[in-house]
Amino acid sequence: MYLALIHHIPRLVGFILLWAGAYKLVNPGQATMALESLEMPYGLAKTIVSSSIIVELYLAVLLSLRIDLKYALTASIGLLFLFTLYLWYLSTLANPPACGCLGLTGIFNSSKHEALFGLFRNCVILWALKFSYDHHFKSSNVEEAKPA
Amino acid sequence: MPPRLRAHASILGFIVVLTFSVQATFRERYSQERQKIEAEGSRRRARELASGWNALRYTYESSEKTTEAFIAKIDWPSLQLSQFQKEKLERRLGELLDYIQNPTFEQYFRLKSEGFVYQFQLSERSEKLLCQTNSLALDVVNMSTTDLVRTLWDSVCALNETGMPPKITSVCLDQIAIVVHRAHAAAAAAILKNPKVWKGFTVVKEAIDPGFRYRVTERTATDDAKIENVFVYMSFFARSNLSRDAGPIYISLFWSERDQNWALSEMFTDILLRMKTLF
Repeated sequence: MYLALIHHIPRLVGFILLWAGAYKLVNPGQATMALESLEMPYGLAKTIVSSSIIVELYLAVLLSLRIDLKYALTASIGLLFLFTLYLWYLSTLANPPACGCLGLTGIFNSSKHEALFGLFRNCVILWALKFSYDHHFKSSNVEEAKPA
Repeated sequence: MPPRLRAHASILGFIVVLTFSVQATFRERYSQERQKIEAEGSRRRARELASGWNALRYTYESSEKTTEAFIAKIDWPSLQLSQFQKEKLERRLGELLDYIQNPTFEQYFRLKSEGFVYQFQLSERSEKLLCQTNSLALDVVNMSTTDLVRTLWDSVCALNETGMPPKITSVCLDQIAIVVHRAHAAAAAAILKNPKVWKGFTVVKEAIDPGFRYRVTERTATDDAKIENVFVYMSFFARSNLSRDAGPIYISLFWSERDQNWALSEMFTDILLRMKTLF
């Protein structure tokens, strides 16, 4: 059961990224305005949101179809790490804007709680990706390193 | 190009085209979403502010006691005014606080006119209001100032939910701010820019000025620029009889040198208090 779950983590994370990218593609307002509220110009905020949509969808396809899994997992960890840093920064603000990711905004009354929840969620995904990476590649490396 | 790289380029290319196509198609939707978020953000921020203001301590004493307690809370020595001006201000504030707790037309008109040399000319907002209400047929030119202001008073009162003049039901005595401001020109709305009395607001509502003009001598605009006007800016939190929410009230008075008294200048209330009134 545990192994099966670990095995399917790339696909699960792929679907999460697909949902996040598609959600932002249809509703980019919150994500863009969150960046603007940090005094970023509108053009730059829009470019960053568009880029993150493209990267999310691209990685979603790679993870879901297990194309170049090692590269896809590493890039996903990098992307999630960046998002986590951003959420951590938002969670330190007294009144943070809703980041607009995953469409989960609105389930808390406080935007600070939303940011903290997002931080926790991203940490869980990061750990899941790390376990998946270890499962898929560390064990094969060890086997390769064993003398014949 | 190696097949692996070609696969990545194809996926990426497809996603870029898809993203930009969807963005081009949804442009109108994006703008609607943005407006919706802005409106929701304003509503949310207003609720946050209101909950902070509602949590303050308000007095529910009789109007006389509230007025007394209010005046006692003022840091009089900090106001850089002459003794005469302070005495006049104390009396004026007493009358004003009594009025905003139990407003009547007679009291309002007395506050605006008694002891002052003034000219009356309907302000733009007053004219607009009279046009919007029943009063198109009024013979404005031949009406006395009292009748004109009374008509305006009735029109403004009718705009309130109860059809009555709005009144202050309680005041937060812990957050009273009052400062003296000296300016060379009439400082319209400068009270809202003064950090010492600043209490924030969700949406500000300016009380309607009927059109009383106190400085009506032969002074020219150049003279006005030279003469120093003395204003008293005051702000406090209060509750009105028309709303469940508390909110800030900003009041400014100015010293009329010729009349040797404090004239009512401007009043701003937060929209949460739902007060539509003359000042």
